[in-house]
Amino acid sequence: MRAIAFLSALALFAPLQDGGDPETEADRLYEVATSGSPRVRYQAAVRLAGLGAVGTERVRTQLKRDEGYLGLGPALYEALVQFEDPSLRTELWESLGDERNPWRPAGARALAKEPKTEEAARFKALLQDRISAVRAEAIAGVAAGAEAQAIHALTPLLEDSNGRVRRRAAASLAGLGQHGALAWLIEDLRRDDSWFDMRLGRIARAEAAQALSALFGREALSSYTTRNSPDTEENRAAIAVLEERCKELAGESWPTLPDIARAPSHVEGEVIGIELRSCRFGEHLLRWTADDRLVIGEGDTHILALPKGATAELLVQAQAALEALDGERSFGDPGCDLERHHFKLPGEARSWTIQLTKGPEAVLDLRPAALDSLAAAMIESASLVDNGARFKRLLTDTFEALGGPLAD
Amino acid sequence: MLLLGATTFGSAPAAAAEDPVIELSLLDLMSIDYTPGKRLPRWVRALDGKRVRLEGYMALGTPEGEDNFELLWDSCGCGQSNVHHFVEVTLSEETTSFTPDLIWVEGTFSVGEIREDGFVVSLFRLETKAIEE
Repeated sequence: MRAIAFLSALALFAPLQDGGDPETEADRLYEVATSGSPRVRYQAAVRLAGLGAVGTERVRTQLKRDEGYLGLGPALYEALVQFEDPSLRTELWESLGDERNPWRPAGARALAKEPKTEEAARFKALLQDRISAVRAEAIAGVAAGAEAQAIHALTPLLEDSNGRVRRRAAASLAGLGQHGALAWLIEDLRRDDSWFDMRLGRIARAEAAQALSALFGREALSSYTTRNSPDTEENRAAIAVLEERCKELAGESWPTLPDIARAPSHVEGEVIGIELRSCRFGEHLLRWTADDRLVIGEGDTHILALPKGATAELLVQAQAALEALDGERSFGDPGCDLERHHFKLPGEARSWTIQLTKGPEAVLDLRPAALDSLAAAMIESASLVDNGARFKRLLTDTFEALGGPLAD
Repeated sequence: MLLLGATTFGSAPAAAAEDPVIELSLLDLMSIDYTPGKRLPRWVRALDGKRVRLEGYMALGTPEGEDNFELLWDSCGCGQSNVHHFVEVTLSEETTSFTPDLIWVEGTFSVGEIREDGFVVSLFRLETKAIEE
């Protein structure tokens, strides 16, 4: 077995496959990293970085072209920090300020893996980013900085609208000795909520368990398993023991959780949902229930009562759209811009999804006409919230960035 | 060149139908600190050959009529550029027809690096008869 492991390592680290010309090898690895199978692009990018100056020069050649870093593709872009030349790290930071950049979460993740002291202010600024994945990745960069400043910067994120951001902030704060933040992770062990077919509760449980394992060791979770409901006897007992331990650590700083951090209850009667994830405009999650409530975001803290019959009107449009689409439920090419419509029609046991996806380039008519009027109706319905005009503009911009222009 | 990795030799022996089914989360697999060639954690290696049930989404761009596809934990697969972020599912009694819905697969799990041209192209695999929707 050891012999095979050794051979594998040789295969991985053998730097040259062409008989020894580093420039040819750099060209080959660049091609794989930018246009090879997505499975191996990152591996090729890391190897290109391992070539040293020759690899750096190959990347620099691309950066001098008009499309700049956008020609690198997401894998090589994320690997920029692994090149010896520190100016590539600077390039990565600068790209985070570029509105066209579709890979900002990956960039923030790469930078936060080995944060520099002098970058503290930049990481802190990312905590306000409109994209939750960027905020989540920046947390590690902030946590690595001066302790007092990190605690001050991360504490507000415990009330972030995104669950993953709250969990990462809590885990980092706990690691900085703020044991009251453990309450957020303990609460997430109890989550069992879902958003149509997205089992957000299970994701929250898994991430909270991973964070607590990293802090205390896997044995601290005892018999707790994220695979089962948090209400099983074993899970409840394990949570109780762990909570007691955390409370002892926190002492008087054990907090009362804000509503946003409480395990959401099951939202009854969700029938229509829209999930918008734009690399430029951030994320919006909206659900309409059969009894005319609009639920905004992941949980159950922001619920708006709609006029009677509002959801029924949307359902009529949804059913018409489904009939017009005649079974076609996926549009566009793979990419990180995502518009997913979720429908749970009366009498149906499960929900159905129609999705539009695209890369960073605009696609003017990606959304089928059958969904255009439904999207416009969703925007009108959601604009009844406080600051409705602003929210309407934001939703319109996001819909249009994803699926193309909506009719006036 | 195809080179099998250090952890296992190709497909694991098929699990017996009566074997207990392990409910596995892709998030757990994704959480490991993986670099090619590095020994996998013991709990991951222990899954080799076991009967496993997974939920997830078909990778965007999955072609029609194939006997295998990549299973991801989220619907867009954004930012998942590493080989331990997906499970390669092989179907024995049907072929792919892309669905954007959450799906389940249950079958024999195998763990271990498979290399092509020095790159790891597969780490986690599952053989199943069909997809459950």
